[in-house]
Amino acid sequence: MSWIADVLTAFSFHRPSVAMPVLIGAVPFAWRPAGPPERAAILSLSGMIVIGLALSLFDWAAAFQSAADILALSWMVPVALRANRVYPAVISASLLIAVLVQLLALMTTGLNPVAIEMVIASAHLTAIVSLGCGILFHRRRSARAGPIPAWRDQLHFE
Amino acid sequence: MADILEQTALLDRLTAKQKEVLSYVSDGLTSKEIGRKLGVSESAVNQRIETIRQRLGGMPRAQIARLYRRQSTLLITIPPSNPLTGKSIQLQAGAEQSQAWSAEGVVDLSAHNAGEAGGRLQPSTPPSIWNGPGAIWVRLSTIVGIALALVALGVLALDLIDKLSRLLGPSH
Repeated sequence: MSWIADVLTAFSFHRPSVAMPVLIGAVPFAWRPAGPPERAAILSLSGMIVIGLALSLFDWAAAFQSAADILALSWMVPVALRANRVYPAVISASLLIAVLVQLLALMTTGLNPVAIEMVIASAHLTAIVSLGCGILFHRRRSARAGPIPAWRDQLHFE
Repeated sequence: MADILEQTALLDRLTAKQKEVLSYVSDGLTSKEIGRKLGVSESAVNQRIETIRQRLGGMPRAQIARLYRRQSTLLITIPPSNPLTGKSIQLQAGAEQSQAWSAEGVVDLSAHNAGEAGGRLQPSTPPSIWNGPGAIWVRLSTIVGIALALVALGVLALDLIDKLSRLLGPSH
């Protein structure tokens, strides 16, 4: 089972591992065909990666890794509520899992840190895959039907 | 009304083959799929679409598709019992629903049995729960629901992998 932990934690945005350089390298290519909600999601995840990279340089900053995820979640939830798409909800759900697990780890003791890292990395991987699929679907749908409204008209609270 | 007639005149400039391509575009097909239907290459289809665009004043592809969809005519034959006796009339989509154009001129359908001659030209779409009133709560619930579903899937996947690992025994 340890190989699963190694594979999954490679996708954690909190570590300068394989997934981060690949994702950062893919951002310029993903930006062009993306619509406004997709670009907002790219900014959110990229920002989380950059903050995670910056914090990983300092040993004392491990406790603040969750701040990157909280910021990304606070950015993605309004996008998910307002966008004329479904997949931002999946990205928001993934980030929600990552944030809750980190808060749980901060509040309790005795949890296996590898297990926590695996869950967080799985959530980040799900977010990346959802974003990639969302950009592909958006591109395909735009090719068929032309420009699609990016946002809903307004938020209704009733 | 003047807009609709003006745009209809624009479409009249197209040849039958161009209108055929346009009908596929308005159905949402990609150039590749249209090429397959017509037995030509994707680049040939794109060239035809470009020609259509130039004839229509450089309109974007999506706008042309919308224009064609809106201007599609419905041919309806009135039954002999109706005063319009079997003559075909054309209902202009998007036009007043109580009027139609026949060879004799404008016909007021509201005086006749509108149920036979037509009715709604464009079906109303039901309000989507995802976009309608209260949508924000639906979306928030969806986010939480997806999160719970992902956690459940993850737990199941790990349990399955653990059981498979035990079944297969330790690797050497």
